[in-house]
Amino acid sequence: MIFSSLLFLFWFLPIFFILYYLCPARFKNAVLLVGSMIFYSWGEPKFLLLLLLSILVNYLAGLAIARFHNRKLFLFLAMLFDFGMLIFFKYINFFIENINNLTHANIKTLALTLPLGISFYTFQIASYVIDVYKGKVKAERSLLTLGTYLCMFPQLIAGPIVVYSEVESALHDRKITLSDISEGISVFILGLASKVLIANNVGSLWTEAGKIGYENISMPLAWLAMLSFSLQIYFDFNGYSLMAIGLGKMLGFNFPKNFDMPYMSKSITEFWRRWHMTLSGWFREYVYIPLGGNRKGTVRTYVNLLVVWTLTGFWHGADWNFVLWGLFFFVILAIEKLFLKNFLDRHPVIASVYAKLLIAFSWMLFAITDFHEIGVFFGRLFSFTAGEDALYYLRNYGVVLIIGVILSTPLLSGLYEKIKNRIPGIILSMLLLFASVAYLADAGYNPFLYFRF
Amino acid sequence: MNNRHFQTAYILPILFGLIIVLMLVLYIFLPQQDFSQKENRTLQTRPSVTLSGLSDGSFMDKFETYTTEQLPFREFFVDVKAALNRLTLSRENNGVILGEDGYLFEKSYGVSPQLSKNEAAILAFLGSADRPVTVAIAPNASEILKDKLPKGCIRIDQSRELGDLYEKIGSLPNGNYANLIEPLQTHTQEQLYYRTDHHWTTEAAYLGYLEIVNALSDIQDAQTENAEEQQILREVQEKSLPAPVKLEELQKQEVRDFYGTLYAKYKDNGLPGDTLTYYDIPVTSFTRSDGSFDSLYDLEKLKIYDKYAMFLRGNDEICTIHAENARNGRTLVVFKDSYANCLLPFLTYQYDEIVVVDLRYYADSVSELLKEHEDADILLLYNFSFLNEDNHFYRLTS
Repeated sequence: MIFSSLLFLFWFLPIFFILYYLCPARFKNAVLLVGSMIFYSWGEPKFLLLLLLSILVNYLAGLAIARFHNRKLFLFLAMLFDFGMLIFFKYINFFIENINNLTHANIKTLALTLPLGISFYTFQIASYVIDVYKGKVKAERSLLTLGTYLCMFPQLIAGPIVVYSEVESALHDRKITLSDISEGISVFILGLASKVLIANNVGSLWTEAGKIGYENISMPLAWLAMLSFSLQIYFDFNGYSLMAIGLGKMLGFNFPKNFDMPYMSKSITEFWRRWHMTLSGWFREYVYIPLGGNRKGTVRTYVNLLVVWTLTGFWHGADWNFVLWGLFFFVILAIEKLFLKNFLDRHPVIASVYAKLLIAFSWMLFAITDFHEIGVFFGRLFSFTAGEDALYYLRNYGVVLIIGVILSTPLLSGLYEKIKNRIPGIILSMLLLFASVAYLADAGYNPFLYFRF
Repeated sequence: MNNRHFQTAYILPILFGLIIVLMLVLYIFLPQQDFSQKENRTLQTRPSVTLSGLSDGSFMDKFETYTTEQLPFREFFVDVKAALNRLTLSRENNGVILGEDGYLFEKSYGVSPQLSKNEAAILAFLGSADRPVTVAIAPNASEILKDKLPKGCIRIDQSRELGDLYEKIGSLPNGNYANLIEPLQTHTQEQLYYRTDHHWTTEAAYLGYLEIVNALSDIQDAQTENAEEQQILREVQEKSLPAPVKLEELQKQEVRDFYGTLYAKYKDNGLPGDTLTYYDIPVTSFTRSDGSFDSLYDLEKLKIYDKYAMFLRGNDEICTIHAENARNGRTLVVFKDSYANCLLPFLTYQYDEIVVVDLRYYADSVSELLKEHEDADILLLYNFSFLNEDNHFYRLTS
């Protein structure tokens, strides 16, 4: 089930929240767990078993690490299971295809579908076991509580990646206040509108550029298409995160912020502090720092960065273009670390243009899977061809693109903060909800972008 | 928390809660609609829970479709979406483009990979045919009325594509064609296409008819060395085709307030409707898979939304028209799409029997069918956008 659907809005939400609010506090985790399992298994019931197995394995691993001397072994086994499953379901066919290409072997690929949200929940549960090992959190004694943490529907399928320590206390005891619910609803609606009204609309421009064929589009349309994908991925991903954060608040949880005006960054270093913050935070905490971070000399620092960014790229999808995308960031971040950052800090206007361009270019590596097509697209970006095709798209998408650009800046945030708890804010929420339902009613283009994650 | 905030904190949860609960209640208690006239399609009603449906996931899929298609006040919301879309200055909704003078166009992304496959299938059919085959491809509104398209809109140069195709057809011994572009281009002062539907009008179909009769008569002039074919040609010449019927000789009927398929997708209630025209043409019988009729027109369809479906009573896998307007005993086998439905009635003035085949639904052998009608002329009558997208042309050589 996805949040941006009428099924979720008008069936799941009312039924679930009536039960959740009416039941006594000690049953709330159980209601949340069962509700989440229904939410998760709606699309693909068979992977629920995998998720439940993962809960059980990590639950036992946590207890074993706390109890026995051979802590490292249990940590290792848990990691082997968690990442083994991730590698098996997500990457095995990619490896087989590449081995076949390299050695002309003819290994059959497996008929696998990627379990929904596996990349997100693997990272979440791994954080729990590692933190138990490090003594940062206590091993959870209740299977129900740990299950609730891992399955919780708001962040289960598209993030944010909530590490266990952030919600530990709320899992055991949480207060739900009316103003939390109120704020949760307005954040949820903001996320819904972000996804349905902006991401879906600008996204169809990007999809159409692909349908026309990159080799057929003019230079202006190529730039317009790049802009539209950049806006789509932000409003879609941030939309999901906001919906998750809003739903979390309605449940009594405080999830971490996942995006902080990323397109206002003045360097790529800054961009990755503002984009998908819970993912970069996870890699910093559980990969970069354990590898030694920047404390083991210059060469080691860059090697560590290379590892982190290759993995970050690969996490986003089992294909070479995602690796290329990660490596692209490694190179830029390394250059910035070496000397460029100093220059950028002194020239904010250049820095701002520089960052926006590189971010947009990076999205093209992300969005286009085929290397040849990537080449064709960049060729069109600098083809210096005129064409009337862009005029048509400017007319049809211009207003939405402008709205998207404005909302990517903090221009209106101040105003929103001022009205959000007052009547005008409530009216805005209702209008956005109304418009989102209207767009969902005429279901055309409503993609789920994270099926490869 | 200040006092004022505390008071407003009640409002949103109550409003939001009321809305989602009310919608759920309406879903459950409002009567369901199982067919949308306006969109001419069946709608998913609430599926019943079955074990097999739950285990193979079909229940979930159906339920999700149900929540969209039975949304309380769905038509209202859909209109709101169209209005919001126009508010952003967009002239496109659900793949339909609003051009000048209220003309709606289907969106195109250029030539599809299917086009060359379909052309190859047609050429293969012509290459293996035992007699001349006439191909007529009707251009779409985006070609003839291209001046009415918004600036910069992607479109296919149908004249060029069809020019190339006809050249290849002309080079085959049994290849014959009717180029419908020119007769339509020289009559743009008439209404050749519906504003709100993807079909051509009966006026345009009549212009196409004149050109097709011309092409079918040309078969006689074809030169061939093959003795067997010369024999066939002689027989054809003996029974040359009657001249086209004149519109003045026919009784014209007009139906107002026709809102077609494009209107149903674009959803702008402010757009004017179309007038649908048909001519009274007598037939002795019209045999379809759903029965035998004495008229080519289903006047009942004029009461519903999809009025164009009145022509030939809608698409059918195979149907046969018998008429006595030509009285020459000749037969025509037509492979066609829905553009042909408003044109074929005119051809009863050239053929006593017309066998109408829609390859989307007709899965039997085409060569067997042609053997049964060994004296028949053969016509392929399609519109360009169908040729560009449909994937049943391979059945021609079955």
